[in-house]
Amino acid sequence: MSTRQISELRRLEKLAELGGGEERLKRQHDQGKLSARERVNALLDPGSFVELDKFVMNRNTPSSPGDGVVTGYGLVNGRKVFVFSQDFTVSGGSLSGAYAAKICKVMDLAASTGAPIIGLNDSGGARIQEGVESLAGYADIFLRNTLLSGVIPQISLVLGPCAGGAVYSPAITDFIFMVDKIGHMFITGPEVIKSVTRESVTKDDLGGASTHNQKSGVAHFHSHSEEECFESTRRLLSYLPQSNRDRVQRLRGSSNLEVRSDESLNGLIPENASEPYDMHAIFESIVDRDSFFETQAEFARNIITGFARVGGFSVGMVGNQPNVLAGCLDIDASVKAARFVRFCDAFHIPILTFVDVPGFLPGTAQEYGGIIRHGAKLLYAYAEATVPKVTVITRKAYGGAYDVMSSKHLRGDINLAFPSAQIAVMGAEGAVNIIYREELAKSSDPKATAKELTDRYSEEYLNPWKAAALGYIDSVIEPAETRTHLVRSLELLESKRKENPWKKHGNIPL
Amino acid sequence: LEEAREHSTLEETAEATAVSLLLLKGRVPTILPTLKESEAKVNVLLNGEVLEVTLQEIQGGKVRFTLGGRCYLVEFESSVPTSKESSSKKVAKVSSHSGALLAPIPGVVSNILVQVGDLVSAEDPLFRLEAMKMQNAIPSGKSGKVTKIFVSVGQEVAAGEALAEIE
Repeated sequence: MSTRQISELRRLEKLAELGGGEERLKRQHDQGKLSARERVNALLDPGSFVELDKFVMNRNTPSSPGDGVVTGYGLVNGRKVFVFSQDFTVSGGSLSGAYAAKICKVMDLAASTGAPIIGLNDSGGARIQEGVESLAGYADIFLRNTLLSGVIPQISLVLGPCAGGAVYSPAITDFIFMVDKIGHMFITGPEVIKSVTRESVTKDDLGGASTHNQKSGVAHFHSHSEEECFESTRRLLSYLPQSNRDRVQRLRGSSNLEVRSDESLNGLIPENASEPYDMHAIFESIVDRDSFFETQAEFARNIITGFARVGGFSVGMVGNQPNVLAGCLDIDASVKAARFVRFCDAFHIPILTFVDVPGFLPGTAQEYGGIIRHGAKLLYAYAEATVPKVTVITRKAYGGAYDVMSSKHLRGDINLAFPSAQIAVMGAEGAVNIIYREELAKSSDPKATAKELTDRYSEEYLNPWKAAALGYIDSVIEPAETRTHLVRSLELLESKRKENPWKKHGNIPL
Repeated sequence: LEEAREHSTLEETAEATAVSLLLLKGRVPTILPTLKESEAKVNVLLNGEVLEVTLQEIQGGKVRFTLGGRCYLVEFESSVPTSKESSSKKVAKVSSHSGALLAPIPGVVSNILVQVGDLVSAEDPLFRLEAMKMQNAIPSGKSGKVTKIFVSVGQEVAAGEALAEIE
């Protein structure tokens, strides 16, 4: 081989690595953004990135090698992942036919080799000059996103604009990270909105990281910087398997295998059922130290979802949050938890559910918004899940919400309750007003009668014993010992095998 | 105005739109007077959602306003107050900037934990609101100074109703 041939390789490599050129790279940095390549290197284990398609050229017009997207594979915590990183310095990161084909190639490789794919989004949209070829490229990606859903974990990092049809690729993926100030997602931008509905809204208010983490629920993680975003992505991956054919390895570090009881849990649930408390405290107490990693922490805060390690097992945690909206299930909470439960089920991650729920949130806004079909999603998700399901009822488990929250009747494997559990059709006052309507009407002192009947109802029904007597609760446990019970349950269920009847696919009430 | 709320009907003067359907679906609007009469922009509370509309005309039992580029006509059976003095005590004022702390859930104010002038941080609970038989703590949501408290202990509030203003 001649040195001339080698130097030609070096020249082309250098050209590809320059992307849109020095000046545009500088502009990217001035906007507080890392370049497409810097991002890949920051995300992956140092030196592990292997690039593919570095010399792909645009099909229609002369271009720099690479055509605006960096693709390849590498390692995160020593485990293989595929990445594509859109390069805003090349034609605004716009998507061409060749560009889409590069992304599809790494997606196909991720599928055939069984490894997660991470998309780093920073693109102005379709490359208009390419017309329908660009649209075809988007659809090719959407199709793969859909076919790979539930096959390999798909993660999107929004590190720049992601607008119009382009948002639907991240939307189909499992988790979306958004970075403050630089990441934006919307179907139509502020200018179009202004011209059509005359609403004036800033880009940040419309589709920034706060909006999608707090209001719309589109995003799952809110990062304040790119570095933080990459760190969180690496952490998220540590709880996930490589694909639906793999399992997450049980960790056996000292924090994982620690046997501990926590006396403070015995006093955590307030005796007065109208006093709220923070469900996070229970989570922190029972998981392996500092292992709880919350998803959608700012959205529908009346339900908590997230990953953790318990006894070294990777688990998905779901819990009603009495501190927010009394822990009621509403539309947003139902959809948030349903999607999380289905993710866990798709990837063999056991689900631990902590129940303290007074019921579904009443009101016209909820009914008109379709709480019936949205609440049904959570019910459906729990019912169809075949992964190990362990449930702990800490206090209220009323009515339909009791059934929904991973009850025995929806194939909960191990259902536990604290002695403070109140498993009933409804709370005391509501029940008394219905059951004893006549007695109350006839009473000479309705207030005293109501009090007496309420006390009697509470004594008789607001406890875990009826459910335990029927076997709907496997065991009533001392709160301090919760961790031990959970670890034992997870060990027991490690070998669980369960299959649903054959079907093309179910029809979840969307 | 309380009575007007009960019997109000909403008609649209422009052609049918998705927005009008939303408004018509049993959502009874409460007109919240602005702080200054001269200001044409007011916040309308629609079943928990605060929307900013631009008032076009207030006359007798009719209010004409625009929202999202469409014009709407609200007809009340009794006349509509046009000055802030005549507004019902029960209806809280919402200033046009977004310093208002809104009730996240309908309920009864059981405790007010701060006073006007207090400095608060985002996590500080300002109210206890009894809802769903729970004494819900309502955190400030942002750091600042409490400049107004719109509610009193024992008062019923709707979701989206302003409890206090923090600047």
